[in-house]
Amino acid sequence: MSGRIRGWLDERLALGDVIEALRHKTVPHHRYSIWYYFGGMTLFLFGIQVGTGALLLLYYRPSAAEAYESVQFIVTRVPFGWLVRSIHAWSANLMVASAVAHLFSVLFLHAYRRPRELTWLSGVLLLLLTLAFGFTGYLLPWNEVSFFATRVGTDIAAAVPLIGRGIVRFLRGGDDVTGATLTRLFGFHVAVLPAVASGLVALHLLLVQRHGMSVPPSVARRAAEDRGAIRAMPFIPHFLLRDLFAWTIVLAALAALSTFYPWELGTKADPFAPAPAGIRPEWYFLWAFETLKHVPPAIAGINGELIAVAVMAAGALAALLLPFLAGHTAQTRRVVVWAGGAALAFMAIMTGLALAAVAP
Amino acid sequence: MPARGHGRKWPISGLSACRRRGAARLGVQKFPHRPKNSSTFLSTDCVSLLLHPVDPRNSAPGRRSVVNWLLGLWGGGVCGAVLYPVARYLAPPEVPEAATQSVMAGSAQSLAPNSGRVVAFGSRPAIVIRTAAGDLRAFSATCTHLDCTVQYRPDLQRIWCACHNGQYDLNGRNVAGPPPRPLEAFDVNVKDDQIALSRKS
Repeated sequence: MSGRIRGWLDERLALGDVIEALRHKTVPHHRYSIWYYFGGMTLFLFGIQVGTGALLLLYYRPSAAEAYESVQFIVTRVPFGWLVRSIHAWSANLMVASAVAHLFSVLFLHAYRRPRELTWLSGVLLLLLTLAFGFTGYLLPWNEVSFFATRVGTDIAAAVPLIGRGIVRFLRGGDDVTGATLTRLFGFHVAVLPAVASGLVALHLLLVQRHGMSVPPSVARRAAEDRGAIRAMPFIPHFLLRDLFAWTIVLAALAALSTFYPWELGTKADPFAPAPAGIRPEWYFLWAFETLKHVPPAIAGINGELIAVAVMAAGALAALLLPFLAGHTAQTRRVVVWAGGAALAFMAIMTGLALAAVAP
Repeated sequence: MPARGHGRKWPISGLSACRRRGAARLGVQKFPHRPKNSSTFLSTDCVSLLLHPVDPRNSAPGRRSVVNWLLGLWGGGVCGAVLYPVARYLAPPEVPEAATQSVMAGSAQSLAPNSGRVVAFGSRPAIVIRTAAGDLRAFSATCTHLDCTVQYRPDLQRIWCACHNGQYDLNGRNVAGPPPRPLEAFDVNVKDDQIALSRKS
C-alpha cells in the first residue's frame, strides 16, 4: 500500500532525485560543528512563532480600546492562554538570540564567502526581519512600556533629513502613536512580515541545501596540511537526530521559561501619563537605547540622532554587503574577525551599561 | 520551421517570425513530439517575441524600437497606475483637528508645591508644575528628544524624561541629557481655583 502511494506521488512530484540527494548529503564534522545547529534552532523557533501567533490571533483584537483587554482575556480566561502567550513572547526572544548567534558564528567561521553570498544576504535580511517582528509585535498588547518604546522607536526615523517626518507618519499612521499605529503594526506583524519572511526562509534553505555546510578555512587548511579528508557525518539520520535533540532542548527551555517566568502584561497604555521610571526596551535593543542616551544633541552642528542613525545604517549595510567586501584572502578575513569582535564588544558594553544604569 | 534549434538569439526578427506564425502552428501540429530544446515561442503571443533578444544584424531596428518603446510606456503606465494609489494609500490622511488653544488643568489648590501633573492639551500631553517657591508653570510634556512624556522630579526640582534621562529646568530649558530643544511653554491662569493653560500668544 505504502509502496503504491509512494509510486503515485513519485510519478507526480518526481521527488526521487531529492530523496536520493538527501540520502547522500553529509555534514562536515569538526571542532566548530556545534555552530551548525543555530540555523536549525532559529527555524524551529520561527515555526513555534507561526503556530503560537496563529493561536493568539483567535482572541486578539487590534484596537487601542480592546487590545490590552483582549490580551488580558487570553492570559486570564482562555485555557492555557497564559502559556501560549508566554511561549510566543519567550520564543521571540530566544529566536532573536539564536539568529544573532547564527549570524556571528557564520561571520567568525567565514561561511559567507563565495559562493554563499546570497545565503548570507538572505540571512542578514531575515535577522533584520526578526527584529522588525520584535518591534511590531511589542506594541500589540498596548501596555505602557510598549507604548513609549514605539514612540521612541518610530521617532528615531524623524532624524532622517527630508523624508524623516514622512517615514514617522507612515509607521504611526498619523502624527502620534494611536490606535492607527496599532492596526498598522498589527498588519505588518501578521501579514506583511510573515509573507516576506516565508519567501526569504525558503530561499535561504534552498541555498543551504544547494551549497551544503561551509567548512571553515582553518579546518580546511589543517586538513590539507595533514593530507587527510575532512570528517563528515551523514545528514540522515546522524545530523538530523542531533538537530532534533537540539530542538528538544530548546522546547524544554521554552516550556520552563514560560511556566516559571510567565511574560508580564504590565499596565494599559495611557497617552497622557508620563513615561514610567526605569523604562527600557527589550534586551536586544538595549545597546541602541544606551547609545542614544549618550549621543549629544548636536555633533559639530549636525543633529546627534542623525549621526547615530547614519552610523547604525552604515553598519547594517556593511553587514549586508560583507561577502562582497571581504573574505577572499586571509588578510581580509582577519579584518572581518576584528570588526565582528569590535561590534560584538560594543553591543555587549552598551547592553551592560544599560542594565547597570539606575535612575539619577 | 523558423528559428528552430538556434541558441539564444533568433536569426530572424521577432516581427517576421510573427508573420510566419500560421505556418509554424501547422508545424507544431505536424510534429507533436518535438525535441525538448526546440523553441517554444511559436505558439506564444507576438508580444513576448518582442521581449526576446534579437540578432541586431537581421532586426528591423526602427519598427522594433518603436514597439519596444510603446511596450515600455505601457509597462511603466501599468506600474505607475498600481504603485501611485498604493503609495498614497500608505501615507495616512491629515485629519483636520482644531488646534487646541486652551484647556482646564484641574484644581490649583490640589497641586502641592514642588510637584507636577500631566494633563491632556488637545491630543498631546502637557505638564503643569508648582515650583517649590509656589509658582505655577506649564509646558508641553512631549520630550524634544524622542517623543516620550516627561514628568516632574521633586528630588531634582527639574522636569525629567524617564526614557533617555533628559532633563529640563523650571523654565523648560534642556539642561542635561540628549534633548536638543527646550519644551514649549504655555500661559497659566487661575480662575476660581481652576488652572487654565493656553498657548503663548
